Amino acid sequence: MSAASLVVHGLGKTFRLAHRGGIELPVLSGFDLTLGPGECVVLIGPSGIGKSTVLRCVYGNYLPGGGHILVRHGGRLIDLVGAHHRTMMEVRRRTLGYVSQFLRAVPRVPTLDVVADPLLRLGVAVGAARARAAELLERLGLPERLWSLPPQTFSGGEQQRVNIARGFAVEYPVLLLDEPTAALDAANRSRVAALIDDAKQRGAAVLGIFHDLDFADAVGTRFLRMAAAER
Amino acid sequence: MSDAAALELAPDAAPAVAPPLLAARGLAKRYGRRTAMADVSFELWPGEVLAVVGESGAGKSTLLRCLSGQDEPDAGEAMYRRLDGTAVDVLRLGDVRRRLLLRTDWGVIHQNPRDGLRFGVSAGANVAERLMENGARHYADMRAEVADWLMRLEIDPERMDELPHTFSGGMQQRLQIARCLVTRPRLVFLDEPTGGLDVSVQARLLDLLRTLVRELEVAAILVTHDLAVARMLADRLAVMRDGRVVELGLTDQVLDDPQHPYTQLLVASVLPA
Ligand SMILES: Nc1ncnc2c1ncn2[C@@H]1O[C@H](COP(=O)(O)OP(=O)(O)OP(=O)(O)O)[C@@H](O)[C@H]1O
Ligand SMILES: Nc1ncnc2c1ncn2[C@@H]1O[C@H](COP(=O)(O)OP(=O)(O)OP(=O)(O)O)[C@@H](O)[C@H]1O
Ligand SMILES: [Mg+2]
Ligand SMILES: [Mg+2]
Repeated sequence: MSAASLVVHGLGKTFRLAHRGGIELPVLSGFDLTLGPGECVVLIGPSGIGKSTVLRCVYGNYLPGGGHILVRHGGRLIDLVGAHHRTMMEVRRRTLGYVSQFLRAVPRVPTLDVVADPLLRLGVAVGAARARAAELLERLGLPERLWSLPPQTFSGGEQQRVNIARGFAVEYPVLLLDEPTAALDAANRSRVAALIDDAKQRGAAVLGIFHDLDFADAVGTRFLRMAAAER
Repeated sequence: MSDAAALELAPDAAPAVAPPLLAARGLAKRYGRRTAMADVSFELWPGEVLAVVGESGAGKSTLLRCLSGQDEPDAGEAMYRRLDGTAVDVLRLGDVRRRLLLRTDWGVIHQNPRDGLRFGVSAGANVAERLMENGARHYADMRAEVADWLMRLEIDPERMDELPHTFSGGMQQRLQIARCLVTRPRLVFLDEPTGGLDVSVQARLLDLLRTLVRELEVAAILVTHDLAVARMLADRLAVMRDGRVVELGLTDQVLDDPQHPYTQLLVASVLPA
């Protein structure tokens, strides 16, 4: 596994809630995971076990409490735990994609530009970025008449497809997917499955949480059952 | 790294990080017996947006005023890297050189357009003035550039010769931004730039700012009390309380997993940002 894309080793995370009597909530302890190119590892376990917490620690919007998160970034394996924020920003720009369950977009921005935004941040020209955005929205079956509108008023399933298109716009080497299909019908779920399969084909490493077991079976190459953290 | 090495996956050395554009250390300011700012340190990189949040009286505007030469701190330093790569302490630069820096490298956007615009001259002249300060002389070129900037800020260039008081509050604020950005500053200070505007006008202005900041790769320090604004615009977030920075990190990390008790309270007491 020397070509691993993501290695999580001994990851710990405890939330300290200062205003609820200072209680401590241990969620992860000694969590390990290795993920290679072309793989899709599916995290499973009961609600509240810490699946989303793992993804958020890797993406850096939760601060890991200990351990190592090694990501292959531009050919080098670098540890994100304790990394400089400039490094983290660069890793997010180029290497790590993250699709959460809900879309969070700037008001007033047309859907096409919401999806093109990660490409623009990489310096891709506006025309090319929009073309790629259009291609993804098309594949996800979002009606073209919606592309020029801001997504805030869209249905749950439409917003979720915008979010997925945005997450797949850049061909990230590592993709983190947190229930990206929760609001989608069967036809749209299979469109998303095809996108994930394509990503695996090009060598992306995917770490996913999918409540729909048929979907997980279709796209997953390995399942990882999470156990409760030691107190 | 011994446990990671046990996996035979020792990480490579951490990537080198370029030097910051601005490095502030130990900034402090008292007004009489009141401490407005104490021991504030942070670094800012080119093209990076840092939001400063915190409750009223926390010292946010004091920090901005001290950095941008509108007020003088009692202690501390603020090293600024100029285009030629040399660094200067802007707090000890002297008035003349600081004014020069403000003209060529920096921009300030005030909450109240009245503080950032000249109401006695036309909208176009407000923008052209900044260009002339930086050496522009050719009238036709300047007029074209001013028209272009008004358009970028969604102001009809036909209205170039009108006085700013004939503009709406949102338009005045966009005019102020055009005046500031036309000279392509490397660092911009913004204090509640959307404060007096209603919500839909705010959203539009924020989107414009976001796009411009990315296109011009300008670094910015943005004071706001609105966590949603910070989430939308800022790469990093500094939380101030009683004159001190109590937490500083990537914006989504500070908002989604706040570490300091005060930040936890701040995040919990507002609607989801
Ligand atoms: N920001 C946070 N602050 C405090 N506690 C948190 C935070 N995020 C998650 N937790 C707690 O950590 C635990 C794990 O949450 P997480 O969201 O990772 O679970 P999950 O396995 O993804 O569950 P689900 O299947 O319901 O999405 C829960 O007890 C949750 O309340
Ligand atoms: N010129 C001044 N003279 C005396 N006290 C001042 C002066 N400017 C600020 N202060 C005090 O310093 C403290 C910090 O003020 P500052 O304006 O920096 O707060 P702020 O965080 O910007 O608040 P707000 O969100 O209300 O704008 C306050 O207690 C304020 O009363
Ligand atoms: Mg979850
Ligand atoms: Mg203020």
